[in-house]
Amino acid sequence: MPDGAMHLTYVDIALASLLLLVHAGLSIRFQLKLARPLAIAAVRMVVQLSLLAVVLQWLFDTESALATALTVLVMLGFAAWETWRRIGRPLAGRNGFLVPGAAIAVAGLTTLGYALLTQLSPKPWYAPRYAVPILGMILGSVMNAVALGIDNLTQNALRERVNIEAQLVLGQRFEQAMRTHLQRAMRTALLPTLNLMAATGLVMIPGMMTGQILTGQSPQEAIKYQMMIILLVAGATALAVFLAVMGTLRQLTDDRERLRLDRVAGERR
Amino acid sequence: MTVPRFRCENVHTAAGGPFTFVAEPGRCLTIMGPSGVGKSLLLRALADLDPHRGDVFLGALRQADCPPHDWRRQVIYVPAAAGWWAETVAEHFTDIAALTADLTALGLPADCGTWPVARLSSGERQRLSLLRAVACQSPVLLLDEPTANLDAETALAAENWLLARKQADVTLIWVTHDAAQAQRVADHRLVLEHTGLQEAGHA
Repeated sequence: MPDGAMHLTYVDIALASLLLLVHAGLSIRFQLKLARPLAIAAVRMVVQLSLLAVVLQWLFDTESALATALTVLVMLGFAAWETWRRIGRPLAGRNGFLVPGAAIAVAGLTTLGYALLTQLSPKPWYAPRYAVPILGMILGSVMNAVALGIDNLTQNALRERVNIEAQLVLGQRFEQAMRTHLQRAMRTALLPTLNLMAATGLVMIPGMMTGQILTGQSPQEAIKYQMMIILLVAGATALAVFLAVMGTLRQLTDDRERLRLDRVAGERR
Repeated sequence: MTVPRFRCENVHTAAGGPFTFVAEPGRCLTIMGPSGVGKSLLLRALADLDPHRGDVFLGALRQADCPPHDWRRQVIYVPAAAGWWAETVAEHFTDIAALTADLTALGLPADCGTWPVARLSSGERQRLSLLRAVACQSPVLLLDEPTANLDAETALAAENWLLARKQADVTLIWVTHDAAQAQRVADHRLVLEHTGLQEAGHA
């Protein structure tokens, strides 16, 4: 650890947890009934992060290719699941999970592989100390974008059904009839990443960079990593959104270029 | 050159079947039936908008063998409440300026192309959606309650304007719940039931 880094003790964390009292006070004062969920969420955060630390430490120490591959698979699985959960009207059946899952996996692994093989080149190339955290950062942003894109496309198709079919009945191709909806879905999905890039450094200092600075890294070094991560995230997001939205669009039609809204799952309960 | 006949053979929709009939070019075939019996579903199947069983032919051309957009360009479905995808009326037409005579026949002003779609009344929407479909000059028109949103006088004008298509050998397949209208416009009348089509009067 570089000189000048502060070492956090568990007492320091306990002090930070006192801030939860603000939360609790608010809940009591306005009868938000959040006391229980709040306690559970806080405990979950502590337990999950502690477990993560144990798993990561073991992973970094063993540097096993198999264990790294398994970790990556589990991460991709959770990312696909969480994305599916966030889509208001996903595709019905397996495709609701598989289409975003495949898009996220292809985009995440491609970008991760590119970063590991060219910019970072750790030894071995799959070193979990690099692969796992970078994939985590990529997935965090990609999940959100893919969920936004798919949800926007299916919801618009449902709402604009009559207007889309009005074009189909006059002999318009399906892709042409869906063009504006496709554009809207992609824009909606990609805008948060663009906004993030535009606001980074002005409004907010990214968490990763903050962490590096707090542990004593110089700002000049920290921003280099931050830039690389943001660019990786932007690339992965664009690729994943393209795959997910086009994949969903394909499922919304069939070989007779009909609008198949029966392939969209019903309202979530 | 003979104009192709439109044939529907053993078509099953989500509402029932088998539905079989032949519609002659230059003639108007009306289909009546209680609401919910699947009249719109039958027309949607004829335009290949919904998955369905059975075969539909335009002359020798089989629906399943024809690229879907080509089929729909020849067999145009006009729903009772059609959709609009752009801001102004004119954007939904290739050239609305060339259709002044038709606009007049339908009781619409020649400058209605500049109107924003959002401000159209349901009657204006219906007449413009009919004109939009007719302007494509398809050999077959599937009309779903084409005058449902029109007052009696405008409905008669629209009926006559639609029937004038027969002179160009257009096949009209006309769904209506109005027996008097069916009497007026039909060359051939059918009644739709869940289990099939019956000749009107024989049922």
